[in-house]
Amino acid sequence: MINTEPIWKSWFARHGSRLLLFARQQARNPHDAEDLVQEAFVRIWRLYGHTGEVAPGLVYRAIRRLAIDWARSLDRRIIREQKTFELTPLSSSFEYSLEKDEKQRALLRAVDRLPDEQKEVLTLKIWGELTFDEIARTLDLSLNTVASRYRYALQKLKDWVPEELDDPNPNLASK
Amino acid sequence: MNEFESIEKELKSLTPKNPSPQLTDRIEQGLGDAGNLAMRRLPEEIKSPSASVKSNLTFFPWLGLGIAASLVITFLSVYFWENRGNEQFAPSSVRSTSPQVSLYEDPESPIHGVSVAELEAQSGMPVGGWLPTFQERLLDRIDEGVISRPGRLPARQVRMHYIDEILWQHPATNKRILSTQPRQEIILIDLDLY
Repeated sequence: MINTEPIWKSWFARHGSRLLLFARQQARNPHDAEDLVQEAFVRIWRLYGHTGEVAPGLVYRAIRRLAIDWARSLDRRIIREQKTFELTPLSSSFEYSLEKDEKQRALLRAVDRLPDEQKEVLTLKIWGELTFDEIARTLDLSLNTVASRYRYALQKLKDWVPEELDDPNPNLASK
Repeated sequence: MNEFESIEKELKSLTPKNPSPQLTDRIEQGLGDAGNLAMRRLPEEIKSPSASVKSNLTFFPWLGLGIAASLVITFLSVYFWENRGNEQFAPSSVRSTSPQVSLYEDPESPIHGVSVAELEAQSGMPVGGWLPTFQERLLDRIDEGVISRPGRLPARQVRMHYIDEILWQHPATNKRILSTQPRQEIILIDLDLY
């Protein structure tokens, strides 16, 4: 017998963790983030999956639009998500390893301190591996805005990581 | 040189957590048939020995006549043996794939009135003892576009082309016969509009 496997499984194994990371930023709640990924991926794969390949940017865009729709339709959800966000920073969405050195931990703390709009650009560029053009279309922003936010984010991280290494518990309000 | 190259490299070294298996299961359920439209063959199966046997067999077109004749012979043999009350024959796989086939005498048949022994002698092949193996092969899938359905969501129509293969094997004589039959299936995938 010839064994076959649906292509979406290998596609999702490659991109699923990155999609979930982005969804975590859009949903502010781990459970809603999973729902977002599921809904967005199923919709896009139903439309284009028969071709055997789907551009990841399409799924990121679907996640973003669904998140906006859901947030608009449920005001109470927003309040709950914002509360949850304070408890579950983005750094908790990364693999934890005991070997992770102090510099990586400082980097994650610095990422948590970034403004949301810079964090989502950083996520799509670094882990989503999208181009600036794709990020601009995903977030409905201009190319210049995306490039600026990315540059600002990197500059802040470059400045903050040494601070985090010196003082692991800085006063966040002053940043 | 990019002044942020080092920090970008450090960021890329961080690995996002993988989705839970439950999420993957939920997606599989959500996709339904749409998840099975694009398939890839697993690498280790490409060199499947059964595949090479089949491809070799397909190079012999003259086998077509033999296949048809042997199928008729096999079904007739089941019929004859059952009429004789012989419970030893009739493998379970034959029963399961063709339950209670109603056989009847066909005067137009070229083997009408020919005994099993005569058939064996003329064809040079045994009548009983054949073991069938069924396999479905996906040949092609054609996206026929989005169709509208009155009062319902539009759907994507996909036509699947299959070949159903039955490989008849006779362990005693080490003979094999491959029977193939084309089949089409049309799948409609509901499309969400948003």
